[in-house]
This record gives sequence, C-alpha cells and structure tokens, in this order.
Amino acid sequence: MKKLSLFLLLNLLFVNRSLTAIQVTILKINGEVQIRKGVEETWIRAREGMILEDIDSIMTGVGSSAELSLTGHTLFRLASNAMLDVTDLRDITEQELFLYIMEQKLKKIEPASSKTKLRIGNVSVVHGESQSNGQIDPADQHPDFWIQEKNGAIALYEQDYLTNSIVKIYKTLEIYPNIQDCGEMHLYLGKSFEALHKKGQAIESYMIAMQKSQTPTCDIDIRNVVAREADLALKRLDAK
Amino acid sequence: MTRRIKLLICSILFIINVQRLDAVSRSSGIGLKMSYWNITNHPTRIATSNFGRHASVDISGFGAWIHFSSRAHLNWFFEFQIGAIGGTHMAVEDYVAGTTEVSALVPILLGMRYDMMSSRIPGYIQPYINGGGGPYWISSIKTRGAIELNEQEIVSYNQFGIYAGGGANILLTDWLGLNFNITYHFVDLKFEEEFSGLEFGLGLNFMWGRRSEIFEIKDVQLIVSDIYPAYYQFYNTYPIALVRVKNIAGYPIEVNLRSRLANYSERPSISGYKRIENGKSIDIPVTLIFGSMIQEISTHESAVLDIEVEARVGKSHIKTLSAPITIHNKNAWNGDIDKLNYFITPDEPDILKVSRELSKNLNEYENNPLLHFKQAVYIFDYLNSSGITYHKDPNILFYEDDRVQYALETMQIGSGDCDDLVVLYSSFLESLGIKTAFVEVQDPNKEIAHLYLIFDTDIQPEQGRLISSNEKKYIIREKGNGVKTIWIPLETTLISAGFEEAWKVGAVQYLRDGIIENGIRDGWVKIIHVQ
Repeated sequence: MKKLSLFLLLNLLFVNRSLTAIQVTILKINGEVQIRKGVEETWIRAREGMILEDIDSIMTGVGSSAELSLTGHTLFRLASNAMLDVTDLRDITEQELFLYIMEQKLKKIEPASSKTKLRIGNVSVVHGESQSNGQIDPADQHPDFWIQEKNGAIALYEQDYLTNSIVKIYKTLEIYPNIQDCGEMHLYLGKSFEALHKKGQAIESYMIAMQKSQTPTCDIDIRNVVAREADLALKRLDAK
Repeated sequence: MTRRIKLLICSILFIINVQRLDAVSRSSGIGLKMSYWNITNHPTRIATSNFGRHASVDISGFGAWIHFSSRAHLNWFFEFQIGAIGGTHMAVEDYVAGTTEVSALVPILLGMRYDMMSSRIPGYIQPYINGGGGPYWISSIKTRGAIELNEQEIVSYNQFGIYAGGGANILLTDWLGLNFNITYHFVDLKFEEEFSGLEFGLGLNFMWGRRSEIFEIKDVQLIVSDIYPAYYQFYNTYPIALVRVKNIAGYPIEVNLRSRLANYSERPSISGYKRIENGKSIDIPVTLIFGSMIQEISTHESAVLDIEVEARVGKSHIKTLSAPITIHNKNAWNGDIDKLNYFITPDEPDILKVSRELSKNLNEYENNPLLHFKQAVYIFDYLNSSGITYHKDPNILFYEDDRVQYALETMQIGSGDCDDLVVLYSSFLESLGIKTAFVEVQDPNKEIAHLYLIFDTDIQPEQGRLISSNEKKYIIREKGNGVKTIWIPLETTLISAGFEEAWKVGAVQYLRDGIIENGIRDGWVKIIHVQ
C-alpha cells in the first residue's frame, strides 16, 4: 500500500512531459526587442507574430517592452530592460519548486559515492594543484547582464508566476553569485515565497535582502527601498 | 626392553592414526559386543567344601549383543539392539543330589543415542548416552534331582523394561570403532526386580554413511552471473554471490569461504574466518581475484565459480559448491553507465604522449581561465583531423551486450559509436587533468539509449561570457568544495563536424532532454562523473 501511494504521489508530482511544452507568440512590440534562437550566440530583431520555441529567449531594451501570448491564450508583459527564456514561463508547480530547492541544497552535499568508490592504492591526498588558475579577472566580468535577468524575474513575480520567479532568481544567482544587487533579488525571492505562504523561506530571504542592503557600495535609493520593504515584511511575518 | 619399545612405537602410531580421524559419527553403524550382566544374583564362582561333598558353580550372566544405529537428526541416532544373556547356578550335595538353575534373557530394545561433543573433539573418543525400552524375554529352567528323584521347572515369560546408560566409541579407523558401554536395565520397570541390573559391554562398531554436519549452506544467491573483464578490479570488492551458512553444530563455529574462477583467478579470494553463533545464519559475500589474463579474452567464454566453505571446529569441515559463470570479452559492457568509467584510460602512455604534445601548443593559455576550454577544443580538432568518425557497433551473432572500444583501439580503427567516442574523448581530456562526465539519455519513448559527454572548463560562472554569451550553452556544476564551474556538453558523435557544432548539438540535447523535458529530474537523463 505504501509503495502504491508513493507511486501515485510521484505520478502526481511528475506530470506528463508533453504538458510542460510551451509556445510563445510575440503579440506586440514597443521599442527595441530581440530574440535569440536556441543556443545561438546572436540576438536578432523580434517581429510581431513571431513564434518562440521552448529553447528560445527574448530580451527588451531600456525603455522597451513586449506583450507575449503563452500557448495561445495567457497574456504576459515583459517590461523594460528584461530578459526571459521561454523555459522560464513553463508550468512549475509548488511541488516541483520544492524539489528544485531541495536539489540545490543537495548539490552542496558531497556525494557519498566518492567515499565508497573503488580506489586503487591508498592515497590520502592527491597533489598537483596549479597556483595560476581560478582568479577572476575583473575585466572578464559583465556586471550588467544580471540586471536583465533580474528584471525578467520581477516581471514573472508581478504577473503571478511566483514559482517561476523563484526558479529564475535562483538560476541568476547561480550564474552571478557575487553581484552587488543590494539585496533586490532576495527581496523579490522573499515576496514570492511570502505570496506562496512559505513563511520560513520568505523570512530567510528577507533577512538576506536586509543584510545585503547594508553593503556600503549600494545606491542609496535602492538600499532604502530594499531595507524598508524587507523590514516591513519581517514585521508583517512576526520575524522581528 | 625391546618389547617396551615396540609397545611405545605402536602406541604412538595408534595415537597419530586416530588423531587423523574425524570423530563426527557417521550416519549408520552396526555392532557386535560381549557383555556381562548379573542375572542370577550370584557371583561367578566355583566353590567346593567338605572335601568335595558339596560343590557349586555359578555363572552370573554373560551374553552377546548385536546393535544397529541410524542418524535421526544431527547427533541423535535411533538404535535397535537385541541380545542374549545367560546365567547358571549348579549345586551338588553328597555327590548325588544337586540343583541346576539356568536363566536366559533376550532383550529386544529400541532407543535413542545422543553423541556428545561429536564435532568438537578432533580425536578419536566419541562419548554418548543412550536410553530406550522394549520387551525382555525371560526363560528359567530349574532342575532338582537325586538318584531316583528328578524335578524340572521351566518358566518363560515377557516383561517390559527400559534401559539407560552411556558409553563411548573409540574410533580405530574411519569405519571401525571399539565400543564400550555401561547400561542399567529396569526390567518390569523396577529397580529391585530380579533381572534388573547393570550391564557392561565391550565390542566393535562398524560405521558407514555421511558424517553429521556442523553447518548447512542454506542458500546461494548469485549476484553476478556475467563477468566483464573491463572492470575486473570491481569484482575484488563487489560480491559475485552471497552464501548463507547456518550453524547447526549446537555451539559457535567459525567459517571461512574461499572462491576462485577456474583458469582465471591467480589465487583464491578468502573471506576470513567469521564467527556464527549457534542456530544463526550469516551471509558471506563471495568475491574473486582476477589475473591480467582475463583482459585478453576476445570472445565470451564459460567458466566455473568454485566456492569452498570451511568450518573450523577442532578439525576442518569443508563443503564445496560451484556455479556456471559467463566471462565476456574485453570490450563487452553491460550498459551500466557507472561502469563505463573502467574503459577510460587517461594514463595509457600513448594517450598521455599525444595529449601532452598537443597541449604544448597552448602554452600561451598557461595562466588563463580558458586553458581547459582551449585544450578541449584542440584535442577535439586533433581527433577530427585524425579522421575519427561515428560508426555503429558490429552485429555479433547470438550476443546481446554493448561493445566499447578503448581509446587506443578507436584511434587504430578510426571509428566508433557514441560510447566509443565518449570513451576516446574522455580519455584524452582526463589525461590532461580535465574532469569529464557521461550524460546518458534513456528516453522512455526511444528504444536505444544515447550517450554524450560534458567536461569541466574550470571557468567560473561569472566568466561564462568568455566562451559564450548564451548561458544555455553550458551547465553550472558545483564541485565538492563548493566552487561552481562551467561544464560544456559535447555531442562526441559529431567529431567530424567540428567542436562548435558538437557543442551546439550537445547543449540543445541537454536543454531539451535534461531541463525542458525534465529528464534529469525524472531520472532518465543521468550524469555520471568519470572518477
């Protein structure tokens, strides 16, 4: 009986793959909007009526926007200076979100197999590490790309794609772990969790947002907004 | 003096001989013995008095037995014995008048015998206790007579009785033992009955059949019935089979297991002695130690797995069993993605030589985060220029397994299928210290699984735009130390199409199958690190 319940639960969790496929049509363009097909390197100018596949991306320039139709009916508005992968718009249930977050946490745990795996010999430490590689040259970093990703996540949050917003923020933070966003991303992470009634995760995110907003290099306006909103949210959630 | 020396030598030889014997009783035995049993209640004697006018002769009771025993369970035996005991009392008075009493006793007995400490004693003495019961047929003839007077009384009857006693078998050979016993017979179930009394016996016991067992092999579970030479080292620690051994000795024993594959094991694999408490069972894993000859097998062959279980209690008790095993050829692979590691040969001298020679051309990237990426491109281009192409595996009649070529073999042959090319490219990259992983796609909607490669560029995520402006072209993976780096998926079957195309196709595959179709989450896309 237990096995049967588990099987049914897994079936409920893992919905049919065909249901997750998504098609996006560009309905309206305002200003400079570009799309990128699949894994191509170049962006091309978008046109109204264009159909995007599930591996494509869309990006709006500063002061531009686009209206999208998702699988023929739902309307989605992408605001200024934002980037979105079509996969960011796929259905993500709360259970899937939970699995995703758990996966992120599990990734941090060293796999047990490395300890039990057959090894030839009995080497305590492997030597030969190079001292040259690993340092990031500041010139190689492109601090502005994350802003478009962040704006894409905000667009998702504002249009009630809460689980999608959370996943996009996590992915952006994975690619850009050292960005100086003054806690803005964690603020929206907290907002999304709060809207999903995940109080613990919301409080945790707001606290990180509050902490990051205190970074001296932060823009004073952003810092004040993030700190005030995070503080209010923490009070609202009885975390203070 | 000479006689003493002979006696001493004989004694030593006897002791040496009997020490070699296994004291565990065999399953059946038949014996003959002589016994003394006082059934007349007179001591055995000849007496005269008054210059011969009075004389008496008493024989208190002697007889012979034949007995048969057969094992019922472990150290318990059924026994059947039949004996004939006779005693007499004759008295003469005044040379003419006399009385004669002759008593005869024929017990027909059934009982049980328990061999004590049968397997714990390595030597020759096998003590036992026994008991039982049955009818005692009693016959008594009394004659009283003088010159003209003669009286005769014959009495014959049956009485039920029981017996209890003990004794020992001293084993002279594997099939012959000297038996002595002391038994008390309660005829008519009474201690004080006329014929009740102690019986002393001495005889020979002939034995045959199986010895009693101190352990049982309850189950043999063959875990691996197919040996793949490519990962022969794996079997040194991974159990080929599990043997369940049960202790039925009645006390704790220690069991050792030896296993070998005839003609392929250089020496037996030994489990070491494991203690088993009385009545308990343990599973002992069977492992194998292979020699290098196993890697020279070009076609699949049959072999026999020999297992020997030895219990050490005083002397060794050994049981052997065997099982057929198939040994596949050196290129065979059972399709387990985590076993593909064993085909990767980064330390192969020819691979090392080529990869390091090629790497010398990239000295300008020595302190550059792009070093691994550039090396990977260079190696890929080298394989491309070497004319390596994709080619399906050959059809081998009546053979189902996948076939994987080692890197050098693919270089010599010039082509391979997806697993061969993954092994080839991974071997080269690993020889340069670049971490690689297999991506196995077992799409439930497709019949055949696919394999491609990802490798670690050692580039941190923030530097991703050094290699691509499209983050969908790479995967961010976290190392054990928490550092995240960029991994690149490559469709290695597209060696002839060049690195950029192989990368694009690999990235799209990963994106579609792994992420959009949820293959990674649902488990049909697996990433296995080469370690």
